[in-house]
Amino acid sequence: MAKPSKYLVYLALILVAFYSLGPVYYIFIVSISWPKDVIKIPSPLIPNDPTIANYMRIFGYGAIDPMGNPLRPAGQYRELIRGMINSAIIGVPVTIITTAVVVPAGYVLGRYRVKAKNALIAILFGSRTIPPVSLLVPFYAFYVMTGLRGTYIGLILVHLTITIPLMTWILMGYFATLPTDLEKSARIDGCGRFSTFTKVAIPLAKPAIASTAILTFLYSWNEFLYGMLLSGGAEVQPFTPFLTTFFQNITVETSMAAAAMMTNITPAILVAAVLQRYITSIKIIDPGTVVI
Amino acid sequence: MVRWTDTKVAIVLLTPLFILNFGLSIYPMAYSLYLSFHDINLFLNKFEFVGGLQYLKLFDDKSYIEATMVTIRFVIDSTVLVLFLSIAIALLLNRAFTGQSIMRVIVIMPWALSEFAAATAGRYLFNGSYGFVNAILYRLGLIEKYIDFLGSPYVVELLAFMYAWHLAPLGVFFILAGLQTIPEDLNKQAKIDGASFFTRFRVVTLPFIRYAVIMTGIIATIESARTADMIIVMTGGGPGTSSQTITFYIYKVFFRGLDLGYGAAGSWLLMVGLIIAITSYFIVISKRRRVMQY
Repeated sequence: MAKPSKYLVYLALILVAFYSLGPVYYIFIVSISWPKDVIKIPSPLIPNDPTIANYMRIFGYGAIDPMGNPLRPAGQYRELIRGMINSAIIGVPVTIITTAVVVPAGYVLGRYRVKAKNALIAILFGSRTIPPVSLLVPFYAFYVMTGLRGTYIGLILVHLTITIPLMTWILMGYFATLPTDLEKSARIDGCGRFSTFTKVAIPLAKPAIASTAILTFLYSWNEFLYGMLLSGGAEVQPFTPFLTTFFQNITVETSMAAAAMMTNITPAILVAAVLQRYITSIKIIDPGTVVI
Repeated sequence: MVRWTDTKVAIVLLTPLFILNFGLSIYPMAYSLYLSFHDINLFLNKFEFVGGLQYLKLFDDKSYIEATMVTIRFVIDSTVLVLFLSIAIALLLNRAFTGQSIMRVIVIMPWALSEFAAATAGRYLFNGSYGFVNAILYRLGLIEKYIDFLGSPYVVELLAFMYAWHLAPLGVFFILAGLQTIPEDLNKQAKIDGASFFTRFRVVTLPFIRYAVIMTGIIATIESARTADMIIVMTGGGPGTSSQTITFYIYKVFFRGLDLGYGAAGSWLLMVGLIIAITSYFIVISKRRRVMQY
């Protein structure tokens, strides 16, 4: 009885792994195939002649295909690289500001008994339910009037609307489940409330804070809608929204588009690998310990 | 010298959150409510108070009503799929097997990707000329010609499938955390008593993950009603308008005509609908809980 069920578990695990990785695996396969192989029927499931030519072409290098014909670099490779730089220019301040705001707020909401806490949490959760398109309209009107459209500051501000409520939520849950003994003994030893926070709580929560910062950068990097509509052209446009323009460019073949997509999702794959150790300890998991 | 009480410390530490969250979400929403009572045309420099006219126009707008039906279908599809997938995968991951940590990385990856990436992956999966699903079906001999899945009447379900693929890992980890609080003995005892898998799930497992499952359901509902990225990138509302959700419709109104007043009104109506849906969820849950206590 026990043995076949064990095999069944492994079979199910393989299925789940295939389901989780399949879509990305296929983008990867297309990205290392020659353009002419992609449109063959049936399309390749394993490339018989893998190449890095697509990656070279999207970064502005030429390549030569197996028949000896030269392949030109992608038309908009300069804008693509510009987009990556823009994503970093926007993502770093977003990460710093979010972390600075969210760590004290998460600590208070997770630890303290404050009268209006439930109302605060409701507002926080409430602002998570606002559809991004709903904020798009007022932001657009406001940005056109103030000239913030097409500036880094404008995009940084709008990214904060996504990251701050979410990360407060995550850290709040974390602080609520962190053991209080150390903080209590620090208070008994004469530590003030502020220094308990800075000298005891923050060092204890370091891994969670680091994970939050990484996640914040990822959210900023991944953001698409605002970056597309509020950046007003390629000048300050981040990497992810720029890709729609890139995909629509008729000189960009499917395999090059796939290579650009793989470049775009590499940070996410790295983050997934780094965060899995913390993901059960940072209680994204159970904000309920706070709410109920 | 100020005496620092809990409340004072709390106020100081919460101020930045207040300023930023209030300034960046609540003020714009209020501003959008104000915009929704106006007829605005940025090209003609028109900004005219029209009262509730934009809202009346919405109720008359066939496209908006159609978009509402598509949204409801998409939200139900996604929520059901997310719940099913996250419970199933969490139960699987909770078993003892070698390679736990690598499996967790694999499972969480779709969530770490952007919606943009998930939607693009959806295009690569279901594309009619080079799609992954087509390639597999063709090799298995199940089809003779490639099928244009994204042009089919089930395009909303395909969107929901990709959205659930992206969102379910979050639910998996919610539920997994709940599963790990179940005492080992309880399950063993139930097994000895001869309880079947489903009875064990209902009596032993469910009480421990009930809260996580409810949270997953709520989050899936909110997130799928909110998303526009998925539809913009994967189908562009098509074929025709058959996958046009409310968020996509607002985006289109906004993008085509910069009709800010109408777009704002449309998004407020969506917000009201969402709030009603979430509140009724909570009411149902709390009623159930009261019944269970007796």
